[in-house]
Amino acid sequence: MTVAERGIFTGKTGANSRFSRVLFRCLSLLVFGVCSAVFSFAANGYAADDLPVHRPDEPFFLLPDIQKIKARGSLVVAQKAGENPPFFFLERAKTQGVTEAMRFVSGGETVAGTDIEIAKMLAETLGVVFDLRRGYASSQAVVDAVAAGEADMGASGLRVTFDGLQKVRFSEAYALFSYALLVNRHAPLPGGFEITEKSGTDDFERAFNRQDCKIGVESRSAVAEQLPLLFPRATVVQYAPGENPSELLLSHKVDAVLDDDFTFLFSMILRPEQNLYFRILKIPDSQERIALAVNPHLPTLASLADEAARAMRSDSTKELFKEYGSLIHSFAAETSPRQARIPKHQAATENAAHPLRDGQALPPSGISPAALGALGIPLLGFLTAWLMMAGRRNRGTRKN
Amino acid sequence: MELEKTEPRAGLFAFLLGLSRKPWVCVSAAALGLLIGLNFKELAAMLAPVGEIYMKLLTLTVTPIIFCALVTGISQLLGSGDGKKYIRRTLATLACGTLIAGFLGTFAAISAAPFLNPDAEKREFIGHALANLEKKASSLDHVQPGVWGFIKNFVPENAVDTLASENLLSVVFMAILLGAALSEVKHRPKETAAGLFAAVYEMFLCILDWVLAFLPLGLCCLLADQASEVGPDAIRAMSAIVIVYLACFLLMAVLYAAVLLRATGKTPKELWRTLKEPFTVAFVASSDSALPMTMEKMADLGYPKEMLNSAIPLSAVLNRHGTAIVFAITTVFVAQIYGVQLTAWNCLLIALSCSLVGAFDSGEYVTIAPMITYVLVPMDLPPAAGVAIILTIWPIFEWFPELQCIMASCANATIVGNIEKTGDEQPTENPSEPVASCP
Repeated sequence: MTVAERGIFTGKTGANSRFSRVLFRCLSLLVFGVCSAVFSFAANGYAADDLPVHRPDEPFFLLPDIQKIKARGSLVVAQKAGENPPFFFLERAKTQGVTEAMRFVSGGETVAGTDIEIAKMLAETLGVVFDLRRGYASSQAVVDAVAAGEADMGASGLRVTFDGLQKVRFSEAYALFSYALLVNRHAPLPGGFEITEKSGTDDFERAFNRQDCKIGVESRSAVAEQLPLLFPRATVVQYAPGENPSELLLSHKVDAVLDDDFTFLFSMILRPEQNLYFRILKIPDSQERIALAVNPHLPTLASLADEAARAMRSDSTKELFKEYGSLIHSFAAETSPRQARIPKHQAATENAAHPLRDGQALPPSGISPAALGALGIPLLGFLTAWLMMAGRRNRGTRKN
Repeated sequence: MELEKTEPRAGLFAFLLGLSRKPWVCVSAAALGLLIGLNFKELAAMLAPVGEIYMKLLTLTVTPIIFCALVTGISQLLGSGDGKKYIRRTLATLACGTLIAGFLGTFAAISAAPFLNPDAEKREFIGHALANLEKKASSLDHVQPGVWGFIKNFVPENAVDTLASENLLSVVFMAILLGAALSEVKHRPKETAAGLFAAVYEMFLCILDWVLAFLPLGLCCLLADQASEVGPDAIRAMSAIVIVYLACFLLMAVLYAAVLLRATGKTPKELWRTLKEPFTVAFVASSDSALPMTMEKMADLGYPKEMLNSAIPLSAVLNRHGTAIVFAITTVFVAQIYGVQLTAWNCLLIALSCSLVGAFDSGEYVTIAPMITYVLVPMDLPPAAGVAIILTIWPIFEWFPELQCIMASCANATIVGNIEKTGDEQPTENPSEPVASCP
């Protein structure tokens, strides 16, 4: 039955007549509403940007965490004191590879680095001032400051730790490193095992996951959390932050020291002579994440940080060196302990003290008369024999 | 079957060939290359591919020449009446020479210990070199550890692959085996095989002649590239080792000259006139490319070709005195770096192992350097530092070990050639079984 057949507009039945009246009233109201709106817009002037959804710059329409930052007018970023290139460092006269985006002038000094670049990028995206607060004693202190709300985020080459994950929201990693063991070149590995470039996880397990293997690790560090996971059977020897682990290796108090490969490589760049005494063994299939710490009450900022980290990401130490190699090497050239310790012109005449055991000289390398005697007598014998063999002149098969 | 000597060439090519072998032309080209390398690094980088191609052309002839010369030389020596005597004398001479080098190197290094003294700057430089070496990691891969690994390095898995391999020791090993086997073959097959080797030898010699016509150009490009890579830092940091080695080289050069003069009975002037060409080519290019010329010139001094065909290639490959000396100095230096006090027994062990390893090294310094592992590991010293040092210092003075190699080969050949004849036996083949010899 069609509408016409049912007589909606014809009024043939009582029910139909009531329905028609209701419909007529509704249509009248609609026509009135449309006409009122037209007259209203005509009177006030219509503009698309007057609609609420088209005004994103008005704080009312932003997500609450971003609204809070924008209301404050600055993005507060916490950073550790000191330097950790290429993440953050003080730019010097001869530092190479620093771009304008990586640079931030604060309190008369130029702080530069990839962390600065990411944080500046976020501040610019939000349209607020970048407020860098340096001077926190440790990574832990940076994380605590972010968790306590002293800073919106921490950009300090932070490692993702179990402890940190309970306090802050870490962004996606912007650098990935491998865990590595530093071992003494001049001492056999535990159990007499050999580790080469081609060694796999099993080889590392066999050599280091043993009770008689002592592995040194910095106390209260991210690496200290990882050691029981990587080598649960190894004996853990903790050393204080700031203590030189090479001393432990040279004095055979530990068989190896655990950290990430970037830390060891950078240390070797600062003091190249360390290569003579130590070897870095990269643990296959292990991964350390470097990320930004964001206050857990700022989820949108965390999402933005994820995006920024993704854009800057280096998947390995090798990749990081490929991108920032000149920066790291020029920084090392200007700040290595050797450079700081002795002027260049004195370098050649410096006493041959052991580089890693300050003050302890190598055994004297004098001339040993016994050795000279042991070598000289046979040498004379061989010389005489050779000359005698040459002496049988013109008695042989020579044609003349 | 004796192949006829190639007719002297005429025209522009002959002129080029003659000019390119003049010592003053080669040395001038080398000096120009050094000048470019040290002062115009960009130009040196542009010339590098030319030098690289030239070096490849030069080395492509080496393996077949050494192989064919050794096969025919060994088979002729073993077939002759004086064969065993020659071989005994060759072995005695080679052993004596390499022991002199190993002991002299260790003696000099121990004497110069306070001078070598690895101070902070040297350690820092070597640490750098070591880090760079380990980035490449593969350079240590091909050295197999232990005595058996050492032997495995030169015993080839496949006789045919040997000629394609870069390991000259396995080429020599295979050539000695083939030469010995050929001496057992009788009549026509022996003649055919020996003729084939002689023909191959002659062909590659011809190619080498063509390549040598462009020696000054190749040298200039090669040295420009090489000099641009050796930085002043390397020279400053490693100068002590370089100076000690050069002192040893001078001593050994005097010894070779004494042996040559005593054995040949020639005056120094006559000797220089005869041997200046191979010495120049060895110094400015490489010892391998100077080998055919050395054999030719030594034959001019009156030594039998069959003896020269075996003694000179064997000596050039198995008697690298320069390597033994450099290894000895480096070992003492590495011991100093790690604070190991060397006893008289340690020194004897170093001298003996350097002599042995020096006798069995071969090829480019990049492949020689890891062999120091065999000297350092028995001394309980980390081998990587030694490899890094050798890879750093070798490009600074690599011309001298090359020259030393050819000088030692000549000295060894004169000692071997001064053998007394046994009765009426002749060192040549039985006329009923003629065998080809390399010209």
